Amino acid sequence: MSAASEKHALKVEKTKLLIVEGEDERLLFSALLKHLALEDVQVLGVGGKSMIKRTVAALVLDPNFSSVKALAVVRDADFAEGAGQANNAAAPVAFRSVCDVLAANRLAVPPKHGVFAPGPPRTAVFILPDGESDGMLEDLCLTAFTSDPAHPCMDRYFTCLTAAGIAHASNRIAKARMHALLASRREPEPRLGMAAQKGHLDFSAPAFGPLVNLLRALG
Amino acid sequence: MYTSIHIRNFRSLDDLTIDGLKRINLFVGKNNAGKTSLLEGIFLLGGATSPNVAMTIGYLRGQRFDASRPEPDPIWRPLFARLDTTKEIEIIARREEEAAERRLSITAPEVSLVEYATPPEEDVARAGEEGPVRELQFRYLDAFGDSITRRASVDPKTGAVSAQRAQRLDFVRSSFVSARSFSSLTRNMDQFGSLLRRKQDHQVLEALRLLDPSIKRLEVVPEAGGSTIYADMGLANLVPLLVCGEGVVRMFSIAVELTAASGGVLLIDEIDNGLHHSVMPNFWTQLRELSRLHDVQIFATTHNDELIRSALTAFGEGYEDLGLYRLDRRDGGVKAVRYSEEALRGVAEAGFEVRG
Repeated sequence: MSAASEKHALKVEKTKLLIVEGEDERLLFSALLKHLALEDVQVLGVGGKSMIKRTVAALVLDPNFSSVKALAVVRDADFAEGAGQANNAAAPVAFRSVCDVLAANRLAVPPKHGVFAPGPPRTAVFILPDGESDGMLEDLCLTAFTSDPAHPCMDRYFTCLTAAGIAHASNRIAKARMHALLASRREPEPRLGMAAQKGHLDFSAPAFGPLVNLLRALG
Repeated sequence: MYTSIHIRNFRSLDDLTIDGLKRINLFVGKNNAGKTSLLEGIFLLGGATSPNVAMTIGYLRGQRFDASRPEPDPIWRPLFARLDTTKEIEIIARREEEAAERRLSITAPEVSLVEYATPPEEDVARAGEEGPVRELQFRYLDAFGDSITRRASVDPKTGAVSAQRAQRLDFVRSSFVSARSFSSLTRNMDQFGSLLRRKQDHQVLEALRLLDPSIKRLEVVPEAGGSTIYADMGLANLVPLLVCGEGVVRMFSIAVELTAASGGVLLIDEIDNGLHHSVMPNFWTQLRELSRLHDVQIFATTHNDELIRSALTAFGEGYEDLGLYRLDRRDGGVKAVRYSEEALRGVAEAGFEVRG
């Protein structure tokens, strides 16, 4: 029996849907939507970006899908396969990949990152961190923490690690840096989604602006 | 194997098309969405040159002749969508590696208006009404393009229903396991006897042991008034199969019919009846194995979410043998939603509700 069978069956319950990669993202975006007072949006964490294709294929067959007015998909750009370092090639590939999924399921294809295509349902794709750069949700959150008092301490910590010759994940450095930042809170919470739920993220930071605009257009 | 089915003006189905059929096809949907009607339509096509099948499907729904008034109208009229006998029933199907479609059309050619006047003292006056359906015409266009027409009709003197039968070259064996298995146990006994003679009974036994491992063997015991199937459960005496519980009887019915339907089609209404959730994964594995072994295509209905999810687990990532379809009542009609293999993976992994 799969894990899915042990929980309540997932179904379309709202007319605005936000598809995100996983549970951590689902918690973070739920907190962000609550912060924006946009609570009429159903957030679906699909269990990884490789699951977006099959989730959308199942989603459009849901008995209530015809009531859906708007759908947005948010995923990480990550890094181009085989690239040893960031070369900003991943975001357009990720955007096209999601657009292909939408098209395969006869959904409207947005003209560009962060912009809704007229539906029905209206559709949008947002590639983290900003639609252009390689990276992930944590990169966006790090930008939002730039003026945080703990930021220089975190920088020094990683400088120290490098000086000591301690290897750390090169293309997942943003995750590690966020963990270090979140460790500085009064109630430390390394998982980004839970940290967002606890109010550790400042959603009013300008870095979240484009994402906030997308969610406002969705909701 | 059938690859597509198109049904028009039959029971609750005005116009339903289902493509992409697989070896095992599972149909879900709300009550009265037309799932059983779909199975009946496929069954009718299997008996396209034997119009008495139109009576059989009434019996499967529990309809019986009233001995004092042996009138087939209550069974035949509801075959027509919205009880409208002026609209031809059409069941069209395509099978793998066949260029031409098979096409069955059923009409009620001699339904006349019975003229009468209600007594003047009644509040609602009627000048006449449609007479009973006393004849059905089955016109079948086979896979080779040949047409065969046969009729089922009532003898106006005796009231007896008779049906002309015809041989056909493109025969597909079709068996129907209704939602109530107990009713078919007598027929299953004969089939099981035949399996015993062919030494194929072990497959049925294996299927039953999924539900109750204490069943060691099955035996047909001749008794006054007919034979009875007993199970050896390691007790001092054999136990009549009928008292072994609904799940065991159900599984017996399915396993026997599946083995007997070799090369054909097995239709199972409410396949999960009597099955405990713990046996479901093994049930699917067994069903898949038997259906491949005997080259039987299965069409089954269910309301059971655990059964659906256990099928998705048992069939794994490939899903080349599994089809899942939901019948939705929309815009006054019934439409089929087919889950692609990609969508099945989404349902399995994200846990989407599929039953409507």
